[in-house]
Amino acid sequence: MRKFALSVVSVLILLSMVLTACATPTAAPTAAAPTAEVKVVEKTVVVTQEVKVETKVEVPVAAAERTQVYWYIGLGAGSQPAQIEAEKVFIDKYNKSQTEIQLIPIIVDNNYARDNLIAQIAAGNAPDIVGPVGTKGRGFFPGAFMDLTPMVEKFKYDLSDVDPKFLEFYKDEGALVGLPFAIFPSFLWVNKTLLEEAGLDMLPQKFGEKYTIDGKEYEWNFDTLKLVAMKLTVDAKGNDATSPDFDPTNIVQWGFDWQWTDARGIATSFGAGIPVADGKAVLPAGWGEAWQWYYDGMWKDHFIPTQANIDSDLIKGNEFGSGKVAIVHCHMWFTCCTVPETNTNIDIAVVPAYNGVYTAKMHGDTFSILKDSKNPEAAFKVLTYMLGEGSADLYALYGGMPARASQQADFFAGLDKTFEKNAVKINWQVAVDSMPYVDAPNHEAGLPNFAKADDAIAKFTSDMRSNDKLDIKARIDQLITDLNTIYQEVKK
Amino acid sequence: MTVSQSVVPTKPGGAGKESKGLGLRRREAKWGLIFLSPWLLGFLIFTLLPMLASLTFSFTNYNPTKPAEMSFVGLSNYARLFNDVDLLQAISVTLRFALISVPLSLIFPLLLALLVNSKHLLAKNVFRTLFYMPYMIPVVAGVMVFGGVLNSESGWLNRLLAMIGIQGPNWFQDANWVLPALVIMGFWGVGNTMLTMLSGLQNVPTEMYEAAKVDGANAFVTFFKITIPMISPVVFYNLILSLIGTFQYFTQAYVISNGRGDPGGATLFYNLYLYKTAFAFLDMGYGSTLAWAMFIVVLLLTVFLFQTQKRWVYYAGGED
Repeated sequence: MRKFALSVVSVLILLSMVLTACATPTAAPTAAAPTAEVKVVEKTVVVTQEVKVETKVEVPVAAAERTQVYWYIGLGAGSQPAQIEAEKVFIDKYNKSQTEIQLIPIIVDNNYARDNLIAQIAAGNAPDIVGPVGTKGRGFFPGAFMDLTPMVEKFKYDLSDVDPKFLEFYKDEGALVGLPFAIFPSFLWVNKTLLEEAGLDMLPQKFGEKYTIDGKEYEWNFDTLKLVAMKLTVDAKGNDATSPDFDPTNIVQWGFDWQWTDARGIATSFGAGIPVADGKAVLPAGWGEAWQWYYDGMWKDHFIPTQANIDSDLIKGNEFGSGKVAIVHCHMWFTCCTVPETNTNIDIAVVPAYNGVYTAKMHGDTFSILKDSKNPEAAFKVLTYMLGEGSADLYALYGGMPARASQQADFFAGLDKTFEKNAVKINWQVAVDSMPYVDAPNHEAGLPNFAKADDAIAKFTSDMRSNDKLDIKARIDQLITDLNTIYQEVKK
Repeated sequence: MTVSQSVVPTKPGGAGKESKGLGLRRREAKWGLIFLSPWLLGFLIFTLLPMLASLTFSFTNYNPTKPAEMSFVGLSNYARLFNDVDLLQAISVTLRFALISVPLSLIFPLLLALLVNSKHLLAKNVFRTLFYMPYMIPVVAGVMVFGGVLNSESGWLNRLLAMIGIQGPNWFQDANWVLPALVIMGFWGVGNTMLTMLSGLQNVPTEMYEAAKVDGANAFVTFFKITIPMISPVVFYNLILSLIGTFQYFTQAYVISNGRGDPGGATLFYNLYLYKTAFAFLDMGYGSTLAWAMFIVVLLLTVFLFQTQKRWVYYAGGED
């Protein structure tokens, strides 16, 4: 009897271990990171096996007399295995196209790229070119990138077909630290199947258009979006969030979220702003309302999934891709992750207005030259090739929308081809029309003491997504206090 | 190595023997150093020099992206330790975790060791192997798996609790539950501690149990008066390792909290704070100071524990 009882205890303990081992792993916490607006192509690497962190291509002996230009890839997109092969092809093509410069890639897994680049700069081995990299990626290296304006003037580099507004994306504290490469306007990604199931029409695809629900016309604003999203939020028994029988503890489908962004990315939809003025923390107009709307959407009205929902088996980190969230606000780069194999009935719509003003946040990627570059002029020559003759290869490789108007038609034709494979037809005009509603200042704009300020904002985002008992107004006040302290540190 | 037997003393008597012995010792020392040199070089280059470098950095404002701007700041980094609010939070988290985790990380494996040491258990070796196996799982993989197990919406633990009418907590999103969640996670990897405890149990002479039985001692008395004292060196060894491990706790918290210490700073362990300071905020000078402060605290705690062992650790063969 004792033997049996002990064996049962042992088996039970083992069973719990086996259950643990057989459990579906959580969506990699990083994949659902609410605080960092990062493209998924950079985030799908889950470190469950040994990854080759750094790839350096051997320099052919015959090429030793050429000026060597090192291109650092991984801080943004570019370290996925499929991209690495294409990058090597691109580099090979460039090296064969001329005899002066030997372009050498340093490809580092995105998870380690930042630390690795810090170490290289610290050791005096700074690479020459870094990219593709966005505003936020550059923000972690304040003052490390070269102002390209003198080079642009010296080499008479033509920027005439770039909207001056977009040049702002490539400026850090007034210095042009990159040449226009890719832009990523944002809009709403819509799962039309879920809308049809709820008896709702497709959302507006033109700015200024109204939206009709049950025969009644509504302004396309955040109140209307809330109503639509609540109708799209459904519990296990099929009740939507507007029903008195709705069970918020057993939701199986949600209406809306801002996917893969942080508190600044959310708030900018209620008005572009930057939480600093004259070195002091400020709350831009509309941001407090935005965060209240967002917080209530999760914890009071339940049409936005919480962090626990996002990490659950239902969503697995990719809200729109899971088919369980009907509408998400995201960027052009989300073409990577819509999962068209399962979401065949999707389209895009314009963002709603707040107080009559539309704001469609924007991302911009570029290639920059480090100040510590040993061959800046050669690096600039490579840069002009990357953004000129070689740009078509790089747009195909990184999926960015060309910042130059002259290159955009080809880009959309290519996208159509990709989506046609799964019989998906998307109205890309929405993306083009969203561009004038760009957020200026940008929601990723640099802040004093950037790494710490960004961390404080990330903590705030995390609190909103995780804490159902938050006094949001008090927490916003706390954020402003924290940011003030952080900004003051740089003054000391 | 051949030790020369043909060395003939040039001088008769003791002096020759002494000289021969000295030469032999020198040769042995030389070869010993040669064989040790790979380790010595490794220690020098990869441990001692970085330690000295970090000690130097702790007196500077070193930022790795701006090495040219490094300057000497005296003891200001050390003074900062005493008015750093985030550090206070990090120490608080680490100590609270240590209070829960260290005792449990000794008790749970001890119970498992008792279980797999029991003469009443069938297929003991199978269970020993199976209990040990999770220890082989890489930490990151284990954390990812537990992220699923303890997911408040779809994790099987909360599902089991729901079956008996209990609403499970929001393990990783609730500041009050995240530390217990990490402790539960730690149970998975106790195989190694269990093995050392088991070896301790198996070294307890059976005559002592027989004598206790003859004296009429019950199982409770036998366990606390014989087993625990006899395995106290093993418990002490594991206590030291567990304490050091708690102060070094990093990977699990880093993966679960996206490297930030979420939710609400509840997983901002000392080492995570150190990492953030040095590598995220690039304040390598203060980061080095934090590292040295931890080194000193852990050293003092270890010395303290070694002092206390005289009172409660029993070495059958004497302390030496």
